[in-house]
Amino acid sequence: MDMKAIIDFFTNPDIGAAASVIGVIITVTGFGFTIYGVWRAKRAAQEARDDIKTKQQTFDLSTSIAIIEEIRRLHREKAWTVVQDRYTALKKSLVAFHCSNPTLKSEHKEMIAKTIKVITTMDSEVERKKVSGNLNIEHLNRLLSESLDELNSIQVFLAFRGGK
Amino acid sequence: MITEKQKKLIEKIHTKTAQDQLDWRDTAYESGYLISFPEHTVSITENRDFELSLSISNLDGKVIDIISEDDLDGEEKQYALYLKEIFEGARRKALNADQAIDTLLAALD
Repeated sequence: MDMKAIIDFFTNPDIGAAASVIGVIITVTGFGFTIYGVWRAKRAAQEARDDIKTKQQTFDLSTSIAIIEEIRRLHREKAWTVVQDRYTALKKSLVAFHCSNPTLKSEHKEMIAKTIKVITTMDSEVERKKVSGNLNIEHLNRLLSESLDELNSIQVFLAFRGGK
Repeated sequence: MITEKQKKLIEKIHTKTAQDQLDWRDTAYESGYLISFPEHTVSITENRDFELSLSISNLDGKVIDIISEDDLDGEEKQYALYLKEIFEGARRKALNADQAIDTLLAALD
């Protein structure tokens, strides 16, 4: 092939048009891949954030659950002065959980509000009766068991929901 | 003396309790029951002088409003009756009284 034939080939308007079309296709395809890559990276970041959020939520609830277990033991030991500090810690933990999770389901918020109020009544009863020691430990621990079951159900729900 | 809003609240709770639509729960008090909402709780308690009071608490468990039988006079005495009926309904619901009766009836058949 001589030099003229090569020049004719590259100066042919049809070849130029075809090259333009191919260029556009390559550009659009590349852009599509870029968009897809960005979307995947964003989704992965969101999943990571959700995962961290779930872990934080279940950790916060685990703290409350552990305090309830401790309170039940303190009731059995009749350690009334110590237990009142734990009531405060439990309420703080639950209020913090409630406030830091505005997307909680309504029924879960109700469970938490109920537990906080029950603990408040417990604190008041213990304050009133700790000197006489006339406290119904079985009743107090039954109330705590109910709260424990409810908090566990929230924890299971959050774990399955994945922090959304 | 109670406000119109407080009257409305008592009426609504009275109606819904009578219709068994509220999930009254036991408290640590010997004579106290509560219902919970996402941000508040409502409690009904009977004191040592057998006087009833209905209170609203915030999320921290602090009482933010209270209606006592003591506050009711004159025409408001009707609301004292409502409080009494709410208390009875709450006790029955929280302690599963109806369920207990059903079980007993089944056992006696």
